[in-house]
Amino acid sequence: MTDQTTRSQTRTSAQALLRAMVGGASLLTLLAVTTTTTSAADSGVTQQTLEAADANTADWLTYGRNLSAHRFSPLAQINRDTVKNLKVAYTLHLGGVEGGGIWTHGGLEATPIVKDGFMYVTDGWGSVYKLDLHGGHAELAWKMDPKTDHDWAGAVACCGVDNRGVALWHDQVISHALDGRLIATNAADGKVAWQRQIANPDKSESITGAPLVINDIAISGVAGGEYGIRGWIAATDLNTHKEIWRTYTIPAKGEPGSETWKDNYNAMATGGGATWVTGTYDPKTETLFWGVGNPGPDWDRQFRPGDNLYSDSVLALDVKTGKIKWHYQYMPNDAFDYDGVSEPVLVDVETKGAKRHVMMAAERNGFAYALDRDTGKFIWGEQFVDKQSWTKGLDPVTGKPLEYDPTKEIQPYLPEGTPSREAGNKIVCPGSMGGKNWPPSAYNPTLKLWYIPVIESCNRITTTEAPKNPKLKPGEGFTGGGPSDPVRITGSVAAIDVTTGKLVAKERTPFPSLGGVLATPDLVFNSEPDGKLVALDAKTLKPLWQFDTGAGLNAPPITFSVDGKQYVAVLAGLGGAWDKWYIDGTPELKKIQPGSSLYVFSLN
Amino acid sequence: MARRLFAGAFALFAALPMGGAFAQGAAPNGETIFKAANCVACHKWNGAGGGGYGGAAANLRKTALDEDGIVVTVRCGHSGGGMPYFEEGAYDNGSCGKKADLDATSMPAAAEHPLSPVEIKAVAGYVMTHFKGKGDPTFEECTGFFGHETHLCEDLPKTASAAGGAPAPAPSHHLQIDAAPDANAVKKP
Repeated sequence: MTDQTTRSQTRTSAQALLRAMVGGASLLTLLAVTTTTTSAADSGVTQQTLEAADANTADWLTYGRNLSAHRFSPLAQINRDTVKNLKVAYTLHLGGVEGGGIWTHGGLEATPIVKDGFMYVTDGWGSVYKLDLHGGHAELAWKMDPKTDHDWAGAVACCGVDNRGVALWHDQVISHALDGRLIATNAADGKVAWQRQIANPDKSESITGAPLVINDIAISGVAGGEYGIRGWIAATDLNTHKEIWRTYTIPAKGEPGSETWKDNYNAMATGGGATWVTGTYDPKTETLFWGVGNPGPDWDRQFRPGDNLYSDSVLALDVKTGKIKWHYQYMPNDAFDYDGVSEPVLVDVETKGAKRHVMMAAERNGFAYALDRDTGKFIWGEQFVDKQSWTKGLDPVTGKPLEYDPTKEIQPYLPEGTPSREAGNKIVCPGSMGGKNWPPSAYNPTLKLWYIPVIESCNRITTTEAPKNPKLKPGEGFTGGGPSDPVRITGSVAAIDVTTGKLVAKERTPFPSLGGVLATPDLVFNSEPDGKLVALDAKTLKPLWQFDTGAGLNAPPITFSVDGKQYVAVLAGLGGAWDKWYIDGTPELKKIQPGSSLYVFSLN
Repeated sequence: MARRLFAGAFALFAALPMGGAFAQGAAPNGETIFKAANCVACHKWNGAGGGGYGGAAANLRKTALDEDGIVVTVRCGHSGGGMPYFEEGAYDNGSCGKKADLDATSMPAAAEHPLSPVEIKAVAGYVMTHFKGKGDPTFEECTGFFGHETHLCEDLPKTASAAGGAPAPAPSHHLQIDAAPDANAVKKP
């Protein structure tokens, strides 16, 4: 136990004492409060705790708040009527802004995890910060610095110095570092309990996503789809620290799916399929849902004739074995870098005339999908971006693009909006950033509205022929082209009624949503990259409140309560892919300086 | 096109000493500018360029340009490519061309922070002396560039002199990942 922890617990006890005295409580109650506060501070998160996350109104226990990625909190002190009084309660400066490799600086993308008045956040290099939020301010309890090799990891990170947060497991904090490690830290004192290398930067693998802990295993995804990796999802037993299964997203020769790679020079070896966004879990069927990114090379699809499974797909996996139960591919033979990594949102709802177990995902290609999560069968799809130029639409039965022809090696997407070797420069909508990127959506189970943070974009894609059998060095991209951004990019928050699958509201914003959204009973909070946190009406999406942090928001907002009081929190610090690869589409964001801080809001 | 440079002005957040600062002191340091102007983001620390998300940047070790040619490229960027232009107002004052003659597909992007003529000359000189015509990058070159230990340098060959007269074999840390077997492998009967 560090000095900081001792101090904070002493302070906590003093506050409990004060509250109890004010409330006229008996000594017995007082002791109970004190004991609970102290011991509960680091008490364990188990599978039962996570499955009951909806009922725990105070905390934010896992990446998507529940294992279904709803990012919905029932807390309602901050509501349609009171939100006008929302003010900064406290802030805290964090670290990790330094650059490395090909990056000038890091940014903050983490979803804060909150339990019993303590918050756990990460910076882009994977340092974990435990903050004591009792007493109406944030105090650092400890910082675990994994000493990530900046130049090594930063040289193979395609899209920024990023880390999207931690998972809690019993008395440990489970996290990733950009250089490919899975790290378990003692929640009590911040000491590293054990760590394990699971991704290999010497093969251009890195890790940016938050781990997902299910049944005493940590599930990890990998980044590196721009470097010719072969993607995977790995499960590590947190008791034995051993890896118990690894599912590759690009099949090996002879495995199911390998028939969808129709070249004769082993394009699968550099087939991509990164898994860099955290998935979701259905305890009833013990199924893990996880999205898969673009095939490699990103743009030169003539290099890889065929559908290129399981790129741009969602996989349903048996959590015990990693075996693929079913898959659904959004983008066969992708020519656009339209990753299929978006978080699969799990809802049980009546839609299209029947009560169904649904999995929804809003993808980079500009379409939102609903699938039957027990079978993988398509239910509905809906375009959520204003402008889309690559397809006439989705087949209402299969959900595949209308142009899709399974007998063709190269899919005949609309030539006017599809880049190719022959086309040279081509303006494509949505641009290669999407549609929607990693910033997460949110779901209001009462209104049955699903909120999507949208990038309203087009960009210019230049396709070049990728070399066969490339001998790739670490950090050497294998993209078959590249994007540039001569077209203005804006954003929106879109609401889809999941009972009908129709877009029912949209609030357009001057900049794309690069941090994601949070839903409460009658509000939606949106993180905007020019620094504004905005509260929208949950039904109409009309703005009700905003605060300018003066820093770029690149992380999702959350809400929680401490000592009965509701707070909204967001990390501020623009990093990631945007200000290197897409900034020309939003020139005003060039003014945003690197930053690294936490903002917490409350009503008074 | 064999080489396609990515477009995009780079966010330049490192403290970049601008024209005036250099004019008052010592001659500008090409390596400092190479790092601070973020040339490293695409051309990499060793100048070898190659692929990135935005496409492939030129390999400066194999450049055919002379110093004047490099100065022009840094000043004006690449028309239709990704290399931004670093001379302030280069397409307003006509020194690189006229905006009116260019459209969205051919106009290079402006660098986040322009460089002064002496800075451009210094960074071009750095490319000439450190990259052009050099063979494969070495361990010493890498550690010299970063100034601290990083795994990035580990697999690079040491030069003969540093290894005591004979070329040393490349060190290999060859990271071992103790991965579980392929969960979806087809079992052999």
